[in-house]
Amino acid sequence: MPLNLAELFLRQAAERPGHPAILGPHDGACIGYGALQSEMRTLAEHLNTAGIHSGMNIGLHYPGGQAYIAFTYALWLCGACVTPIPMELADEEKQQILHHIAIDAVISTPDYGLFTAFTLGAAIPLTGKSCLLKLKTLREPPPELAGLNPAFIRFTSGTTGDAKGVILSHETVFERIQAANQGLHIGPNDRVVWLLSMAYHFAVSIVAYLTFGATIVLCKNSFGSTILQEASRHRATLIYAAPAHYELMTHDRSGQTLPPSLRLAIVTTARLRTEIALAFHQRFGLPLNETYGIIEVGLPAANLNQPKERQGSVGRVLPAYGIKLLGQDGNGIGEILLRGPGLLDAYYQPWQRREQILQAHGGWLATGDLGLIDGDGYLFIVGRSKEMISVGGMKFFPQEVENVLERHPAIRAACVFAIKARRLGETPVAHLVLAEGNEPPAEAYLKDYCSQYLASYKIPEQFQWVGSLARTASGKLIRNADK
Amino acid sequence: MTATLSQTSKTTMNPTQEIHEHILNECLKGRVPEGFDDDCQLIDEGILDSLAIMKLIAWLEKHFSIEFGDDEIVPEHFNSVNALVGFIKQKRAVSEGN
Repeated sequence: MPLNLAELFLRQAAERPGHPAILGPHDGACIGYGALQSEMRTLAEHLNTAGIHSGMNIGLHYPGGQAYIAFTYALWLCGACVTPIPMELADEEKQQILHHIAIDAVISTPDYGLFTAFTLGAAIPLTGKSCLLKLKTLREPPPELAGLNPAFIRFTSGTTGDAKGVILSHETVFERIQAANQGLHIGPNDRVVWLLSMAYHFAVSIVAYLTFGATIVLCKNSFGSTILQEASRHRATLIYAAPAHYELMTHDRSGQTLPPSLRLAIVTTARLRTEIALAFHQRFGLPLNETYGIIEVGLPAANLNQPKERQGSVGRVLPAYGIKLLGQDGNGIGEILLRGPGLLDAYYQPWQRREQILQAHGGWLATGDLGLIDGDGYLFIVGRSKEMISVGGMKFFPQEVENVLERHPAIRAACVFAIKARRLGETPVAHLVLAEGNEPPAEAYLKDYCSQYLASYKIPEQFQWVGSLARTASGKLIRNADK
Repeated sequence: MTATLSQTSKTTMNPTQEIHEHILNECLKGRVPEGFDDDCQLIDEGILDSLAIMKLIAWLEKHFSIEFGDDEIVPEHFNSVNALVGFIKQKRAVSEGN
């Protein structure tokens, strides 16, 4: 019998029905494991009645929160797989997901106009603020997909515009959360303040909390004063957030403190600047725990033992994982290779099973990240061998933006790269070569043009017209030339 | 030689209108929620999430030639378009006073 993550939640709900599953985001809001289970079952019945069944893949186009969690688990109860369609993407990016991943239906907010070209029949109301839209078949799913028992398909755009789509089975997610919990030790006494996007972070976080009986604390906004207030009000034991959230907490002027119950302040999504780590520790007397999370692996490393002494390190790899560095330079820096439980099951397009992906490195997954390991086994991430850009923790490849820019008739060639930004970490900038016979369009026009095709965090902050782009001898763009 | 198209940060247009339009175009992608006006609760209505706030700050700093202090990123300044305009006026007044 294949594993279903929803069944693991049901076991917790049966064991502790009155235990709070979610607190907030509004004052006094609390739903217990039993009530959340009822909500999921009711939704699953509605979905079943509407024709959602085992083997289907359903897009989830909905903001993070209690309903997002309930929809995900309800779909699993139906035996369906979930493909998040992040709300912040541009319409064209959302439609691209439908073209690349075979999606049978979408659960959406009432703002579903962008899907209407793909729908079959009228929208079916689910809750007051959501509906189900059945979709036309745009492509067939890979034949081997159903056999993997998929829980999630996370769409990722590749470096050359090729869509990848990471497939995570129920078994894989379960392996990941078990491996992570060898370090995190999450249990029913934990109350986790949650601040991230559920469309990007769900597997080794929300699923872990609900599988291990913890309580999720949702905040009504992510200002420092609010996070501190909610952490204290709910006696949080763990905060799971991006560096920007800790920066806001550090500079909060309300004078609030963190509760003595807090045992871990997990940093994820982007690199933590030393000055934030030091300022946070100085104000709250607590170190920040940096982690290393990647969609293909899960959470293989976390600095849980020496966050203060080895600030800047994402810690040792957790017990279930192995690590080695490939092609180390004279300073010991090399590409991080990992192995262990819960590695991705497959890439969706082009279809590649786990064994094929790992074959190139003898069973190890090449992460594309560059790292250094000190004498005691602490890993420091020092860069990316891939040219990914991270804006406030939202990651994308520059080629995506270049492809959009080069579709414009006035642009002959584009090079997009990151420059450092104070609060966002990085921000994209574009160098453009004008197509012959054209006048350079104004910056405001180019931003408008990009916004039709790209999420706002991917739109370059500046556009500079150049005579030519820097390239290697083999013609490859040099994106770091102006960093 | 490179020629940048970045606009200068000085503006003589109405800040309320500029911020209103920026939020409509950048954060709402032109989808105007019912009842959206300059007193609309940008945080409580979920119009500004944490990434949108950071992007908005970067734009406001560049566009209005101001700088947010780390301790000035608080809900009361981002509650509405009018609250943002009030904060910017206050920052400019201080800056001009100096």
